[in-house]
Amino acid sequence: MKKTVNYVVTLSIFCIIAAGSLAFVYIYTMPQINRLKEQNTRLAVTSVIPGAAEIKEEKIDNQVYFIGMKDGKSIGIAIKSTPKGYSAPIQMLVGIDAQGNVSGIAILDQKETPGLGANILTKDFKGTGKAFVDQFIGKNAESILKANQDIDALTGATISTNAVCEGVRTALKLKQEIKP
Amino acid sequence: MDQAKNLFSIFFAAFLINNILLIRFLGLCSFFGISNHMETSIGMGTAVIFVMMISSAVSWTLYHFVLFPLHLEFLRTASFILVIAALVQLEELYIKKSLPALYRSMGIYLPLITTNCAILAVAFLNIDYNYSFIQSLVYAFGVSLGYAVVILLFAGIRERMSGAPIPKLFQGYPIAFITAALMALAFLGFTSMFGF
Amino acid sequence: MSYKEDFVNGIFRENPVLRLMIGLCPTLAVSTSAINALGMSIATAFVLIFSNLFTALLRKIIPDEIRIPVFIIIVSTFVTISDYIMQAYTPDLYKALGVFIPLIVVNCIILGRVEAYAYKNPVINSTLDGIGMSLGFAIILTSIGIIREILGAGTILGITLFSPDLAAIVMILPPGAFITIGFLMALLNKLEKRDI
Repeated sequence: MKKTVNYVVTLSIFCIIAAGSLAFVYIYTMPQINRLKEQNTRLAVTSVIPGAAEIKEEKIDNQVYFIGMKDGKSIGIAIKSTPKGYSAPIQMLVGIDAQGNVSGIAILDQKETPGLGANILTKDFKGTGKAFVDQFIGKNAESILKANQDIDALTGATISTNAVCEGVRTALKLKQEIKP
Repeated sequence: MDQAKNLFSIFFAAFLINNILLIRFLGLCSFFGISNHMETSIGMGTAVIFVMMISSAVSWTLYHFVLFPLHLEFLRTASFILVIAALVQLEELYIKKSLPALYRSMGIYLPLITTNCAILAVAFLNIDYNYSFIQSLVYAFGVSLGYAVVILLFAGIRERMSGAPIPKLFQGYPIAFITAALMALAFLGFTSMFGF
Repeated sequence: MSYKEDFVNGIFRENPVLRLMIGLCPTLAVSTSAINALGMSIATAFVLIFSNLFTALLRKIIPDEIRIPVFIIIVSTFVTISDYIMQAYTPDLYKALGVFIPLIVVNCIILGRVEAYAYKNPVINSTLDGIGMSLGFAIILTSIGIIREILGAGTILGITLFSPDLAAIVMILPPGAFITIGFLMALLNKLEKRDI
């Protein structure tokens, strides 16, 4: 009996000390983690809406989107889109300017095949010195958006290329639904 | 209808496409340790299905009804592993009492299921993927079925291989790893199935 | 055992991955590139060294019957600490290693060393044992990472060695991990034979 009490007490003391030190680490690192998250969103949004000085987050029908502002005026909108990739959904952010043209794309998360589909991230597409996703800039709701038609496909990764096309198409459609 | 389709794709993604052993590399210690005999593999496979389903249900409930509302997310790792360790102890007691034959054949590997990272990983992934309770269960079932099927196939191959003329240097574990590599290669073929 | 033996033991004679066949999951999963492998080694080393140190320090007051739960608490505390620190200061690495960071808690190397060594030995010996074991793990993990990165992507630590068109992509896909370990083990067999 005395032994059991002893065990329970020892175990509880260990639990309390562990939980206490974890709470301390949590409180200490949380601001930094949140700051990083915010900074990443900012970076992604400003990379797809060039020239945006301020970002406003809005939510309509459970769809989060970001409005890029400059001098108090909206200059573009960034919409999250998650098309089906080759092995898992691709998370991307599509920036669309006031005229309804794509102004930039950022791939936030992807699990495509390394060396093939994962090249959607490439910064030097076929030696042009431009990123793969840059070829979508200027496309709009009327564009075909298909691999090997108006979009150059990645070698050996037509499915991933078409997945990005699909993501852009969805974003363009969403944009028409939420705003004139 | 959409929901059924969603559950179906979660199941197949977990079962074949992202097979826990061959593609995600989780639970490998027991995989190589126990897979030289057919019967022990069957025992381990069923034990993993059983433990994984229960531990997913319990850890999901623990996270969404206790840790998250109380803002104790930082205790996730510690509490999950303790809960799973306790569950495995209970299961061990139960099997020891009611299925002694199975208990003997599993030998030392049943306690090791606590440190089978696949069990804990599924508990974490259910939270990371933001799955609902039903989705978590379907995911856990797909993962554990994938584990059981692969360990059975692998045990079958290893049993037949025991009589094959293998170069001395490759006997034992090296050839097992190379076999696993070929199986993983075959499983890569499932990747773009089911439109996912 | 002398301090030197404690230190060297983990690197060669009892190398965790190739000899004891433990810690396989993270070894296979995160060794797609040298930098990921290095990151994982450092996180594991942090947890192993501190868990060994604290267990050795507290070994007199931990009752024998409840030592396992206490070990789990100690290890998972350090795992969660490294989890949050990496999330805050090395976010890219954290993202690349994903669920394998919290899973350090079930890395058999750590619980195994804490139970088999640190619980029975003084603080300095245990710390050295932790450093040696971590080094043994890090050397294997990083070499596999380097081999796979060179063969599979044609780069080393991100620096291009040859055109990626010449690289065998399969080496950074899951099968490549199994093949690399299989051949490394065969190589070790070969070296061992020459010694005798």
